Amino acid sequence: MTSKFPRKLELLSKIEKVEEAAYFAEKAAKDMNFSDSDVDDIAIALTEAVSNAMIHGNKNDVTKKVIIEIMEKPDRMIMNVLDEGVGFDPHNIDDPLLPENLLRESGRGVFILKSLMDRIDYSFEKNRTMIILEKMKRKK
Amino acid sequence: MTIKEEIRENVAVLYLRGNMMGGPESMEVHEKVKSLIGDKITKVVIDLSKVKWMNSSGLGAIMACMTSLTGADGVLKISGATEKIQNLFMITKLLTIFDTYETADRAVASFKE
Repeated sequence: MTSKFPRKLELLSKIEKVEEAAYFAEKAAKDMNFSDSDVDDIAIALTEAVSNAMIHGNKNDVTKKVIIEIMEKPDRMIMNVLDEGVGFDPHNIDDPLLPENLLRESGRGVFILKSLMDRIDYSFEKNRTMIILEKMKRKK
Repeated sequence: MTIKEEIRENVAVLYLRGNMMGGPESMEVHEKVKSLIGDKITKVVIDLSKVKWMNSSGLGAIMACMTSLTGADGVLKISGATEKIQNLFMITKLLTIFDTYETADRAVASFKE
């Protein structure tokens, strides 16, 4: 039902708000009739993007917002996550699967994000970074 | 997230319920493990059967528990992970690090083997 979208959620950069993003994505994915497994993937992936935006983009500044937009296309879901940061180099991320990184407590977010979604892209502007997540619709 | 603790034959089982996604509650499990180490209990099972969603922050909390236990010559085992969480452990290669069991009972029993 394309009339239900786009949807938008604004969160202050408080890490406890990440769960709110997960339920927002879950509801949207269910409304788009994704399978239960894909709904979970979408919810978890959005938490990774939102956490990244809060911690690395907005540097945990609770006055800065993360904005989530969810759109429906005939063949896929698109989620945009915007922060107020200056961006980062997505190619300059340590491989969490290397033996020397395996025991680390952090550094797996972008890897998990890529594993769970079909496509991710970035857009960098002055004081604004957007990550774009896409999940294709599949027949159940 | 809530944590229920049970001690069985000097093995602590921590039953987690809720989501592990980086909120302060995710770190509570690490605080609980550090407290167990302080009480000389270093064999720990974390049961995830009632955890719906876990992301990289949740994995980080589990890794922090493991690091603390390893430093105290202890052992951490995982039980009850849902298929989705099991998949998360697999794609991040953490299945090569943790012993995982279907149930907490089996995980506790494995300490006797």
